Amino acid sequence: MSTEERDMSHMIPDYCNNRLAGGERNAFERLLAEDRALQDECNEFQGFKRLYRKLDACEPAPSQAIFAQVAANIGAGKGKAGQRVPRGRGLSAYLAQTWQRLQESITIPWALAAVQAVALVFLLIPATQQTTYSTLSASQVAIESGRLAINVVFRPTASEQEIRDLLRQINASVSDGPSREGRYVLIIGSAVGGEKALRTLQGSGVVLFAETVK
Amino acid sequence: MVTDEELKIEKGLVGRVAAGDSAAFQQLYESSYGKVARYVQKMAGNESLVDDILVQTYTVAWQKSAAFKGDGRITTWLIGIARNIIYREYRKDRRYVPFEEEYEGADTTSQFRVENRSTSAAVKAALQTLKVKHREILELVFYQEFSYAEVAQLVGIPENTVKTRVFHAKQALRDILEKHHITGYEH
Repeated sequence: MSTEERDMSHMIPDYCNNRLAGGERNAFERLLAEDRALQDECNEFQGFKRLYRKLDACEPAPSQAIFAQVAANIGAGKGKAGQRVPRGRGLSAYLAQTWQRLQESITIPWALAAVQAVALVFLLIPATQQTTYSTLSASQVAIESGRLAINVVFRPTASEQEIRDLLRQINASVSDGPSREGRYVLIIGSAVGGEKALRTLQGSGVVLFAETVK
Repeated sequence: MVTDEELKIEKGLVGRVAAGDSAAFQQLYESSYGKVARYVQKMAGNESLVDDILVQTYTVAWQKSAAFKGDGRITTWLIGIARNIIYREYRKDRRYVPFEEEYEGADTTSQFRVENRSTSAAVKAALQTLKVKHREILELVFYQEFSYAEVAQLVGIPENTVKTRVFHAKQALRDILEKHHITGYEH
C-alpha cells in the first residue's frame, strides 16, 4: 500500500469527533496503531479541542430579545418568499436602509453620470451633421416672367423615365436644379393650367414635394 | 457524534419550520443558538453587530427553511447563513473584508501579558491576533466539530486547502502562544 493510499489524516477530525462509521473507523484505528505521525496528529488535535473547550466553558444561552426581534421580522411580513431581510423592523426601516445604501454607494452616482454622458453624446451627434439651413421655396430661384414656376423634389426612388413622363404630362420643362437639397424648378407650359399642373405633381407617386414659386 | 437518526430528526424539525410551525422554529432556535451565537461572536469582530447578525440569520433560516436538504447538521446550515451575512455586513462597511488574506487580524495592537491574565484569557487574546481565516478554521474544526469536507463546503475551498489552512492556523497559534510564553494549553 502506498503512502498516499494510507494517508488518512483528513479523517482525524471525524475520528476524534466520533463521526466515523464502523468500517472506516476500524481501518483508521489499524493505521493509527502503526503510524506514529498519525498518533501525534490525533493527540495534537485532541489537545487543541480541549483547549477550545476550556476557553469557553459554556455557550451563549438563547436570547429572548433576539428571538423576539426575529419573531417581529417574521410577523412583519417577511415570509418564506422574501429574499432580503431588512435589519430593522417594518417598511420604514427597510426604506431607510435602502436610502442609506444609495447615499453611501460610490457605484450608483458614477453609473448615473456615465449614463448621462452617453446620452449627451448621442444628442450632440446629429447636430454636427447640419450646419446650414434653408427653405425649399425661398431661395434665389428666378421667377420666369409670365410663366408659372414650380419647385419640385422628386422621390429618390423615382426613375428618369417616370420623371420624363410626368413632365410631358404637364408640359413642363426643367428650368433649374437640382439644388443641394434635390430641388428642381419646373416651368409649366401655357397650355396647361398652373393649378392643374400643381395638383398633378402633388398627386404623383414620384414627387416628394411640389410648390409654386411665389 | 451526530447519527443518521439525529440528522433525520433535525430534517423533520426544519421540515415543520418550512411548513410554518412556529413552535418548531422556537425549538430550532433554542437548540442551535449556542453554537451559532458563539461562531458569530468569534467572527463578527464588532460586538455591536452580533445581535443584528443573529436576528438576520434566524430570519433567513425561517424564510429559507424549505431549502434545507437535511444532508448535514442544522448548525452547519445556520453557520453557513451567518457567514454569508457577516460577509455582506463587512462589505457594506467597506472597511475590510473578513475571511480574506488582506485582513490580518482584529486586534493586532493589544499586547496581552500572561502574568496579568489567566491562561484562558491570554489564549483568547492570542486568538484575536490571528488572521480571520485562521481563527475561523480553528473555530470550525476544534469547537464546532466540522469535518474537513464540511469546512470545504462552507468556505468554498478544496478539502486539501482546508488541511493546509488548519496546519498553518495551528502553527500561527502555536507561534503566538510561544512568543508570549504561554504553555500547557494542550493539556
